[in-house]
Amino acid sequence: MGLYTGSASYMRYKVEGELSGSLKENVLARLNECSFKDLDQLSGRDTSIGWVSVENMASTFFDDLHFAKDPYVAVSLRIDTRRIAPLTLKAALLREELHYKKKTNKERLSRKEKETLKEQVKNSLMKKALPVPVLYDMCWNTATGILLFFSTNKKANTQFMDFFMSTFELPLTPLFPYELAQMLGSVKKGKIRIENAVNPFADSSRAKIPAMKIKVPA
Amino acid sequence: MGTDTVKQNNQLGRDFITYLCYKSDSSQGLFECAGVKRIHLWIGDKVLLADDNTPPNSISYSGEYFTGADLKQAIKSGKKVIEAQLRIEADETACTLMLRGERLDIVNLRIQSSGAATDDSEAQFYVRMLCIEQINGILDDLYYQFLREISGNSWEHEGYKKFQTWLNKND
Repeated sequence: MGLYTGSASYMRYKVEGELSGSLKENVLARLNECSFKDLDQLSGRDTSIGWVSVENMASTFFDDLHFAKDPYVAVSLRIDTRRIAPLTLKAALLREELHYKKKTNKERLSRKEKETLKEQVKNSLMKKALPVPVLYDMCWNTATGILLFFSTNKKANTQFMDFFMSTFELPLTPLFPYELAQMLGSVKKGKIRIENAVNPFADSSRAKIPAMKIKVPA
Repeated sequence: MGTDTVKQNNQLGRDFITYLCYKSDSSQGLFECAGVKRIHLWIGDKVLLADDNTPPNSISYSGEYFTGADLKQAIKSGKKVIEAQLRIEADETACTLMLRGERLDIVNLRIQSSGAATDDSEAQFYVRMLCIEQINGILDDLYYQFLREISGNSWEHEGYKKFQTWLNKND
């Protein structure tokens, strides 16, 4: 979302290092290996993360190299999650407990029985819960090594950094203010002395800013 | 102070946006990039300022009616701009965006390009990426100008005094 149309929100990263060999073939192999898989194909999991086509979130077909838009690599990261609302779980559990007590003629359940019931109820609800997808676009300029990830959500960025690393085995440096300053200083051949860039607007060692005069009502 | 302090300080982004606000207000929005392009950068309809106290005292302005005087008053009270909506015009590209100082991330970038509209998704992709990279390049260039100025020898005696003159000027 944000790469083709509409408003865009993004974080910038520097990709550290390069892929060896043929870039397109290398990227293709890695995308195929780490492509998205539906949760229905992954038993016992409540989250699935993987790469999908930037043009169609339901497609994991990369062999036509549509992701390679020289010099960019453009794909989307899809994360599907099954969740049960806490009150839904609680209501279902209480219903099962009542049913179990009636069946076994017990007034109180042991801790172990409660835990077993909770696990059964949770598994049953999980199977029925529809996965909720989220989709984040990514655009990697392989000529400059600068990558845009189209989300500013901190958790999403952490998930993305981890998954990018596990796919491409290339670390990412987020271009936060300090890191961007270092990068620009290096690109422009070190004409910035970052250690001098502290509190440029502070007045502690300079002429004082005139104090505000506040009139106190009589 | 060493580079570790600068990194831990984590104020570079806020100082940069505060600097952009000052420069934009004092030069009628006119900037130069890389000695070649002339761009216009204005502060838009939303600005958030905060100081370094724990917890921080913050103030936000939104809508059409806040002025340079409001901004100066907040800066005089020790606050810095931590995020601001900007409007940038460069060549045929115009855009609005929210720039946030903590991580220098871009939020709600909306591009109004005068390039011809196209149904070709490939062309659409390239036109959009060209605009985004142009905007990133402009912001990088302005950030570099800011860093050079405040870390240079003349900031103390010239640049800071100009900033103070702007700050104390009545609008």
